[in-house]
Amino acid sequence: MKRMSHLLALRVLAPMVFLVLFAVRIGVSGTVCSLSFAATDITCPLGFIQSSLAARGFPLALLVSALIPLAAAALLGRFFCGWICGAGLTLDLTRRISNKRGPRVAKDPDQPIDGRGRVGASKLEGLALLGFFLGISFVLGYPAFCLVCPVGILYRNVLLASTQGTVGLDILAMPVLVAIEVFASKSWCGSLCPVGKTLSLVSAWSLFKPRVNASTCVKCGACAQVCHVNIDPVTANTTQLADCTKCLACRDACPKGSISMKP
Amino acid sequence: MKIGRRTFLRLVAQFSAAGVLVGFIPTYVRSWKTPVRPPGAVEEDLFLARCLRCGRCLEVCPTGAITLAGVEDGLMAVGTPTVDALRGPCEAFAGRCDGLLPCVRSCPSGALQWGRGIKIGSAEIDRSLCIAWKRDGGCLVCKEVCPVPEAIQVGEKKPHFNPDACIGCGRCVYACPAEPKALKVTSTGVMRTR
Repeated sequence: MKRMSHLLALRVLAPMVFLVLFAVRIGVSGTVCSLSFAATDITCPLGFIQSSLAARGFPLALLVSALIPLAAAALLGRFFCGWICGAGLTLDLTRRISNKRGPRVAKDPDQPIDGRGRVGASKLEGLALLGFFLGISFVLGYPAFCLVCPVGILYRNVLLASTQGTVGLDILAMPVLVAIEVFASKSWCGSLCPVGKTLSLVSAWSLFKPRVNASTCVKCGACAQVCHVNIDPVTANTTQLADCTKCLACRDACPKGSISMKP
Repeated sequence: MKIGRRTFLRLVAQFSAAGVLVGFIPTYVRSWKTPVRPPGAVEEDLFLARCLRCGRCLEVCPTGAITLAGVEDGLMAVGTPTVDALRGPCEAFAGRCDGLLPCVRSCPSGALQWGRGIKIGSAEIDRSLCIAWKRDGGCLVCKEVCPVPEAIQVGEKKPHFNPDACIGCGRCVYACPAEPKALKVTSTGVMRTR
């Protein structure tokens, strides 16, 4: 096995540091669903939207606290998914370990194909899943995705474990999701996750994007192979780049140093 | 994006199956029982709609009384806060939280709000487990810790519970020396705001 690159080590470490911060509750309180940092409330935008749909209204303060991560995503893209989200880290590592990727042929960018030649979930299915949960929230009157959200479940259980020394049964959703990622290879983070999809919707024009220097690029496809959200930086358009989690793996993998993330 | 008929039918089938799972099962499972909610909880329907399942009220509770509902409390309630008197009493009235209500202050979603009166439920006694009822007196710990004068009345050295006066704080449950506990708090008679 190849030696772990410094960048990968950093990307594995960063979400763990955040998990520990939430566990020891230094500087932050709450969970990623809603947290307080430096006397500022920050709320998950998807949680806010669902709760507002379900309750047919919202407190103004909640809107403000949900606009903060949306503004951050509009400016910086989906960095949350690449550097903070603990569920994202788990699934990214799962994909790395389970998929010995060969060269990938991206015929249709909406149907990502992984190294084993299996077709992952499409962008359309991702949007449909988001719409589905929003519809359920409105019709049945509770934030439906929050009940099954892997991100929320992970952080809720970290909070439960650190304050009361127990975990809930819902933590079982994590191994289930890992199993789906291994056996069905749906690319949860890249295509399906409704939280990520919400952030994608506002991050099409974010500052940081992988930019390929066409004069030095040899079209080897190494960048597309390492991308955990199935982007081919060489051919991707603005819509596809909205999914970029700023993980820098493509920049790291490029043998020619042709990819830059500078705005 | 082009959608073929096969893709479309597959999507429809997948999402109807998922709809049954995520939507309707919790709706029915919910009606099991209403858990004891933290003070200031709005009416259960609105509470379930607003609550973000973020756990912030749990974190700030000074007595550690708040825990998160699990799958066993009904699927719709997963991750919502409940008050478990076995972990600690709710001191929203006459105690550490009187006039402060850290759980209500920490709630970002409006699921917990400042209410007029506080009654999160009421205590129930199982006389077959109660030391005083079994031994004809000898234990009145519940009466000693109760912050509401009329909630527990003593007659013939035995505690008599008045569910109308009881606010459901659970101090008696927490302090009850019987093993297993002779007391429990249920959401019966809870006062909740709209």
